[in-house]
Amino acid sequence: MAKRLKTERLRFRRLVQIFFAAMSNSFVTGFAAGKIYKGNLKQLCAPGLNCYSCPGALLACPIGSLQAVIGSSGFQISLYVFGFITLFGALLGRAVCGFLCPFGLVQEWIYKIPFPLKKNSFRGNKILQKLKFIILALFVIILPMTLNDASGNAPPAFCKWVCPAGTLEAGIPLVGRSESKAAQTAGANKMIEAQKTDAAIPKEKTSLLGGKLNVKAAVIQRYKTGTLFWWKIALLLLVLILSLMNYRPFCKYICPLGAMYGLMNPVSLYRLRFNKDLCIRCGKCKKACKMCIDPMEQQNSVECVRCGDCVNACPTNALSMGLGKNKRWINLDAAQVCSRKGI
Amino acid sequence: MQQNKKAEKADKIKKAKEMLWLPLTLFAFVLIATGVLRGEVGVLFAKAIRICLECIGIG
Repeated sequence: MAKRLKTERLRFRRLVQIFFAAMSNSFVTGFAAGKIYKGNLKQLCAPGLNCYSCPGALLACPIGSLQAVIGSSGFQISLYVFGFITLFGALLGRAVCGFLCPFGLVQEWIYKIPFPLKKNSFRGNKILQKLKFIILALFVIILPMTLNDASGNAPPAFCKWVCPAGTLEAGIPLVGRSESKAAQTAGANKMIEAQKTDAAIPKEKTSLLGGKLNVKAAVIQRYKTGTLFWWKIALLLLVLILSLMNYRPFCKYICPLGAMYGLMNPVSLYRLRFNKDLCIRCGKCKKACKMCIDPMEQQNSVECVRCGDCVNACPTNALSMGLGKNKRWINLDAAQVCSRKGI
Repeated sequence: MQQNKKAEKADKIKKAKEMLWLPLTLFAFVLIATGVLRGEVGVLFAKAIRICLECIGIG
């Protein structure tokens, strides 16, 4: 029974993650045409880190939007984007990371790949976890505020120099498509040149489905990749390789959005609840936590992404997760507590 | 006696913390509304509907 409940909890989180990643990137024609969605939904911020230049993205990335507004000539700070972040943070805290972030899901899947060197706790881990706050202050707020050009606009420093999610979701699909399209165009242009000199070459080609295809010289935008692109690819590869060994390294050490949601973890509506009367201090929850938290001491740590591994590991159900208070605990009498503890 | 008072105080603080999400949510709506009135949405939208060259590592 307990095992079934655990499996159901795990499956539920995974389903929510997949559903939300698919829904927030459901502009399928964008992938096919190499274009991005331009509808009104883009005025709203997504809860998780989801690049707005991803061809499938329907909503705006909160970190990209924050930098866009701060870096614009008209504003020094974005109340609108901070409003969205506060709203998601107050209701869910870092449950957004655990349930609604597509890049978090990618890292979790990679972590599932068997690898001999899995290590989540190491010397300097706690200090390294503070890095995300420095990245938030420097790349998301200070640099977009100060690096203004002649027109008064500043580049989105985090997106430009750090964000591996943008490289994965937008850079690779768009640049990759433009490269392949450019190669196709070059081939078609060559054929047109050959048609001019050699009358034997047909003006039309037969497609695989039997229809006639006109060979046209299309003019398409080709993105020129330089040092910056390869720097971002290297960063993405580093994060993906680290994800093999460490659970969600980007979320732990780099993500500025996770840093902001983390600050709201202690006060958010969705929370981790602990009943010390039921706890037998076996330490199984601490062992199960891949974010290196002790759930018996810090239920609402800045680092907790609400994955629920500690809840599943607890043999006495002393931990639970959800909105507000756990109603099942309110009417527990001494006999029930003892029976749960196995006394 | 003093310990009891301390425990009561800690309990009150804990309960207040647990309810802080509600004023925060209201505050979030105020922030969003102020942002809309200040015209931030236009700036955000203009950026979000163009391919961000910095994000894809080109610009």
